[in-house]
Amino acid sequence: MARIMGVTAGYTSKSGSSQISNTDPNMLKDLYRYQILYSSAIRQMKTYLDLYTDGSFNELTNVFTEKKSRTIAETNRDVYYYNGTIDNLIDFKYDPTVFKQYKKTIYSILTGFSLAVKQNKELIGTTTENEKNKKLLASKEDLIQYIQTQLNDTMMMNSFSVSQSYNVNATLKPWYMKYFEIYGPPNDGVFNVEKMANVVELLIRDNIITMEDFIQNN
Amino acid sequence: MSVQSLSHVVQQDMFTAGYSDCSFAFEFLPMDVQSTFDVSANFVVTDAEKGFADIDAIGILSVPYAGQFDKVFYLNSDDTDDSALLTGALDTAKYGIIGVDATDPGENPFAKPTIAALKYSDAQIHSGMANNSTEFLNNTILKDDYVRFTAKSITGGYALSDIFNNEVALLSGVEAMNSKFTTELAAKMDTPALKECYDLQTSEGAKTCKQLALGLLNMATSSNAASRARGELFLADLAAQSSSPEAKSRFWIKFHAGDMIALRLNYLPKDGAGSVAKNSAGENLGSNTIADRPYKIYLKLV
Repeated sequence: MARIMGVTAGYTSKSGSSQISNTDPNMLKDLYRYQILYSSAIRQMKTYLDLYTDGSFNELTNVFTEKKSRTIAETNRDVYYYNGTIDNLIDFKYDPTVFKQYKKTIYSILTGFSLAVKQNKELIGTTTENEKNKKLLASKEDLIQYIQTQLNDTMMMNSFSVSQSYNVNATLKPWYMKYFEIYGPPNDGVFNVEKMANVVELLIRDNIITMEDFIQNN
Repeated sequence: MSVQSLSHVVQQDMFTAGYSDCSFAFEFLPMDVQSTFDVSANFVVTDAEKGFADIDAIGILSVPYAGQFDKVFYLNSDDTDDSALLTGALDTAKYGIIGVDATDPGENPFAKPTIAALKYSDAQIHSGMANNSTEFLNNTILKDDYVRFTAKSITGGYALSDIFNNEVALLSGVEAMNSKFTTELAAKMDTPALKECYDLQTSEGAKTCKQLALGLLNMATSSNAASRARGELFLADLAAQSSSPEAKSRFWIKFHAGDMIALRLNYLPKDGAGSVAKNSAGENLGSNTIADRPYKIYLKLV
């Protein structure tokens, strides 16, 4: 049975000075492919995703053009990953940061999904309300009734208008409290997944919560 | 024919005598003419009085009406006044709230058990919800909405109450404000300045009552069948309070199923409108501020 050997830092291709013996070449080729995939496509996509989750829609619109999208899609073709350069590991240099970058990208994707779901819910809610208002405008009787009740109440007077103070202090769940302490309120109400992951890691490390606490009570 | 002429309904002899205050009376047959009263009776068109200040959201709460508000608003007719007085202001009727007339006392609705037990925190929110996701449409009550509003204010947009560790306590806190609102409403309705108020220039109670009365009167002539029915019901209520001879001057404005009375309930954050929320240890929860949240709550009489 073939042994899968770990790759040590500093491995370069056959044209380089050092070489790791007994390393599965297929594994190295895949590693090379992952690195190319990251540098040519995923890093760029993460940039766009971060602009989206940060709410920088104007900038995103300017940089993520149809041409850019096609360019990224083009770099995803097999021809760039299955060729002689890859087979012979030409100019391959192991990059130890790539795996971390992939992990960060996962967080960006999750945050992006959260924001997209939130925005979709708001969009549907707004659309539903607009449909209701549209029907109202199209019906004279409903409109008259609306005006009479909403805009011309004859029963309103200051004696029917009162104010009271809410007397309960809010307590945030520990991970939200820590998030606020370190990063401040989230942009547009969407908590960044990577930042939240950092917070949870800190709280678990300090024995304030367990992972189960976070998952079950979120 | 008026009621007073009943004694002359039956045709009589052309010439009759035997009266104590005159020698005879006769009926001059050719003097039988008719004319049309060509002045249309109009109710005063209601002025567009301004209502409540701005509100953030609107809710509806059903109230078993059973006469809960039937002795709150009244109008004093002045039909027995000398017509010479009518040469002045056209509108000489008087409008009032509750009143101090011991023979026909009014009632403070917010001091009555049914109204005092109202749970404003259970009002169904219909517009202006803190979180307008479709999953919350038509199933959001005020207390849930207020806690979501607090979450949204603190986070800058995350309008879900699961951010809180003490969600149950927060919801109970909104419920606890129900009785405080009722107490304040009862106290406001009980102020001497509000009762027996007739000055339309300065008394908001009189102005409100006038708006109500004239609004109902105008409904009686509406082209909308449902509005007209309600207006006619108002006239029937007035007629039912009249006795013969017409001497009663105070008429209570009665409410019926389907009527709605609006309240404005303003929820202030614990440390004041525009403050940053704090937890029980006095620590700031972020840096975003929380505004006050006024709701217009329609008490729908059922």
